Amino acid sequence: MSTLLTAEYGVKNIIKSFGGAKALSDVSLSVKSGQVHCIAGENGSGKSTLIKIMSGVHAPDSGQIRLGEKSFSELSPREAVREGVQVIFQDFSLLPNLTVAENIAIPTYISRNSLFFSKRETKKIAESALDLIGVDLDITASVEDISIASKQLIAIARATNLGVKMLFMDEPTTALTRKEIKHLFKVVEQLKERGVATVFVSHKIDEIQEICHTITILRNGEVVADGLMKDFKRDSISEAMTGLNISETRIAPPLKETTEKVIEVKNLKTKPTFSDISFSIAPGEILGITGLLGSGRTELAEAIFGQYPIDSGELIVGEKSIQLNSSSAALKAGIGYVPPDRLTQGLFLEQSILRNLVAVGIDQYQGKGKLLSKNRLTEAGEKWIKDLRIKTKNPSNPVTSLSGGNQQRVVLAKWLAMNPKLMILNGPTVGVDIGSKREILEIIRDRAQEGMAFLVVSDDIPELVQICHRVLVIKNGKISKSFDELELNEEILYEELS
Amino acid sequence: MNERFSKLNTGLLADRKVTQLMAITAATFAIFSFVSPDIFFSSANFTSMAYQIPEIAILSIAVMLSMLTGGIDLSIVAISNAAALVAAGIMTSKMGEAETLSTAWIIIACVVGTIVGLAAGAINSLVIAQLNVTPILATLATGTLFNGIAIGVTDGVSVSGLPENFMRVGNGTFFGVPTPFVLMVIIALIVGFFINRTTLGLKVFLVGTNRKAAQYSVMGDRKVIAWVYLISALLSSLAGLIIASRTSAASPDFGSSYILLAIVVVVLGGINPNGGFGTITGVILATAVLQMVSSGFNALRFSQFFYLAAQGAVLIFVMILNVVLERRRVSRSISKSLRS
Repeated sequence: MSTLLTAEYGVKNIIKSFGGAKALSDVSLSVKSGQVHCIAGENGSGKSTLIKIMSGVHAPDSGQIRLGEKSFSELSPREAVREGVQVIFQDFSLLPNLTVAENIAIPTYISRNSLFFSKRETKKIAESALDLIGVDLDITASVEDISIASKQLIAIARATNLGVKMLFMDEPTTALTRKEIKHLFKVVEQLKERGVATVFVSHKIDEIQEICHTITILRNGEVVADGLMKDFKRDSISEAMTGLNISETRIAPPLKETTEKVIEVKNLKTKPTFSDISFSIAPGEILGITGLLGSGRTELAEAIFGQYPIDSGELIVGEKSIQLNSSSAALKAGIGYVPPDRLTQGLFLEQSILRNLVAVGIDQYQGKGKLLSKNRLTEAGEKWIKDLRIKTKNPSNPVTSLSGGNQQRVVLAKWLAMNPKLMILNGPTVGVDIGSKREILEIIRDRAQEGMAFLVVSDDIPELVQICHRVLVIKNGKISKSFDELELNEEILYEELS
Repeated sequence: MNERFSKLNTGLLADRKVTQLMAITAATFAIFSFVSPDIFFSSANFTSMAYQIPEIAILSIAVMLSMLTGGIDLSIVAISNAAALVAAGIMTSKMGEAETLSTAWIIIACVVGTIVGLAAGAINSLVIAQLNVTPILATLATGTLFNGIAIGVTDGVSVSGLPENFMRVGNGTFFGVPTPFVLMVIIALIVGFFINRTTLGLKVFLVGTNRKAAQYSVMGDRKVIAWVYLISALLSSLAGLIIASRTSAASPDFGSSYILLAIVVVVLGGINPNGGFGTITGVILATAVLQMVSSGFNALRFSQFFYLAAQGAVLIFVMILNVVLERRRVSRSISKSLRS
C-alpha cells in the first residue's frame, strides 16, 4: 500500500444545483491517504449531495473529482467503485438473510464477474477481509441475528475487500454504545495504516475530535470552515455548523399547569422489545422520546398506535382504558400517528396530493346518502394546503411531485384533519430541509398551544431540545431517564445516550 | 367548485390512457371495416358483437376491482359457472316437461345462484383478507375447488334446456339494443359510481396503491379487500346468469379461456396490475377492441388459434408500453419536483 501514501482524494470547486436550488456551491475538499477527515454540517448542508457526487450517484454541474492521479468531471457508480470509493450508509445495505461471510464476499464475486459460488472460497474471502481490519466475527452467523455494531464492521470489511481507497462513513456512531464506538475507532486506525482515506460524516463533536485529523464544515452548500482538527474548538465547530444566527432556540410554548392527562401509559410490555414503560402526557405537552437505533423507541410509538403488538399493560385515554393492539381503537380514542418512513408508510406515492390529504377518516367526507362528497374533499384539501403552506400548483398532481418537506406536511395534515388529542410523531423531520424543519416544528408548537398533546420520537437531539417540554431516554427497552424542561440540553442527552 | 380539482377521481394519467384506448378502438374499427367491409362492417356482426361483449366485460370488471387493490381474482369463471349451474339446476327441476317457468321461480333460481356465488366470494375474502394468502394463489385454489365441486356434482355434464322465458333475457332486445348489452351498461355505471363516488371506492384505490400506508391510515384495509372479492363474486355470478340465459345452458367447464381474456382486457384497459389506478371506461373500451379483433379474425377467416396468440401478444405489448410510459412519466415528475 506504500504507493498510496501520498495520494490525495477529494473534489475541487464543485457546483451542483437541483433545479433552482444550489445544493453545493464551490466546494473543495481533499483527504490524504491514511488520514481521517470529518465532514460536519447540519441536515441540508450538502453533506449527502457531496457523498453522492463522489460515489457517482449525482453528476456535478461543474468542478472536478480527484482520485489519486486521476481527475474526473463526473463519475458513474461503477467507476467510483472501480476507483476505490466506497460509502457505508447508515443502513449498511446488507442482505439480512445471508451469512456474514456471504455478505462480505458477494460484492467480490460480482466484481470478478464470476459465475460460480463456492462455500470454501467465500469463507476464505471473508476471513481475509476481517483479518485485514483486525476483527473477529462468527462468519457463519446470519446477518439479521447480529448486532448493529457487527453489521457496521461487516460493511467495512466488505469495502476493504473491494480495494477501498476512500471510505465514507455516514453517521457511523449513531446506533453504537460507547464501547462499540471505541472498537470502531480501532478499526478505523487499521484502515489508516492501510492507507485508506477515511471520511467521517458526523455531527457528534466529541467523537470527531477524537478520531479525525482534518475537518470540513458545510453550511447551506458552502464550505464555511476547514483545516486541522486541532485548530478547532467544540464551540467553533458548532458555531460554524449552525452559523451565527442559531435558529435552534427553544420554541416550545409555555406549559400550563394541569393535572389533566391526555394519555396515561401504564406498564407497557412486549418481550423482548420493551418493558416497564409508564408515563403520561398532559394537554398541550410535547413529550420527546429518544434512544439509540434498536432501543425500542420506534416500536413503543407504534405499539401505542396499535401497529406493534403489546403483551401487557394499559393505555388510558380520557379515564377510559382503550383496547390494545388496535389502531382503530387508538384512532377512535383520538390518537394520531405519523410513521417514520413517509415513502413506504405515510404516503400513497402515485396518488394525488388531494387523495393523500384525505386518506385518514375518509368516511367523514360523506355527503348525502353516504356518498363521497367531492365538495367536502376539495374544501378539506384546499384548507390543508393553505394551512400548512404546502407548495403545489395543482392538488391533483401525484404527491411524488412534492419536495420532502412538503410531503411530510401532507402526512401531518392528514392526521391533523382528525384533530387528535394525542399526536405521535415518529421522526417528524427526517430528510426535510432546514427551512421546512423549522416550519414543521412551528406547526407542532402552534397545535400544542391549542391543547393538542404530542409524543415526538426522534434521534435528532437538537430538535428534541428545541421543541419538547420533557424528554424520555429509552435504553434496551426501558425508560432510563427523564429530563424536564429545566434540565434539558443537548449535552446531557448525548451523554445519557452514549 | 374550483376548476383545478375537477379531475379528482380520474387523475390525469388515467385520462390519458382512456384517450389512448379510444384511439386504438377507433383504429381497430376502421381497419377491420376497411379490410372486411361486407362481413365485419355489417349490422349482423355488430349485433353479434353486442351479444358477446357483455359477458366478458362484466367478468373483466370483476377482475379490475381485485386488480385495483393490487390483487387478482382467478376464480371468476368458476364462480360464474357455479352460480349458473345452481340457477339452471333449480329451473330445470322446477319446470319438468314444460318449456317455460313462472317468473317468480326464475327469479328465485337466479337469486339462489347468486347467493351461492357470493358464498364462494366470501371464501375468497376470508382466505385473502383475513388469512393473508396471496390473491393469485388463493383464487387459483378456490377456483379449482369450486370448479371441481361443480364437475363432481354434475358429472361434468352441462345442464341445458332452460326455460324459454329465461332465454329471452339473454337473447332479447330492449328498445332495439340487445338486453345483455343494456345490463352491461347498467352494471358498468353502478360499479363506476361505486369506485368514484363512495368512500369504499376511494379506499379501494388507496389500499391498492400502498397497503402499508392504508394500515397506518387506519382505513380498514382488510374490510376493503374483503368487499372487493365479494363484489367480484357478485359480478361473476351475474355474468354466469347472463351466459346461461344466452346459451340456454350451464356447464361446469364453460369459458375456461375467459380468465386469460379478462386479464388481457383489464391490462389493455389501463388498470395497473400493481393496483391503485384504472377506469371502467378503459375496461369497456378494451373489451370492445378485443371483441373487434376476434370478430375481425372471424370475418377474415383467420384461425381462432391465431386469435389466442394475438391476445398474448397484445398483453405483452401493452405491458411493455406501460412500463415505458411509466418510466418516462416518473423521470419527468422527478425532474419537475427537482425544479420546484
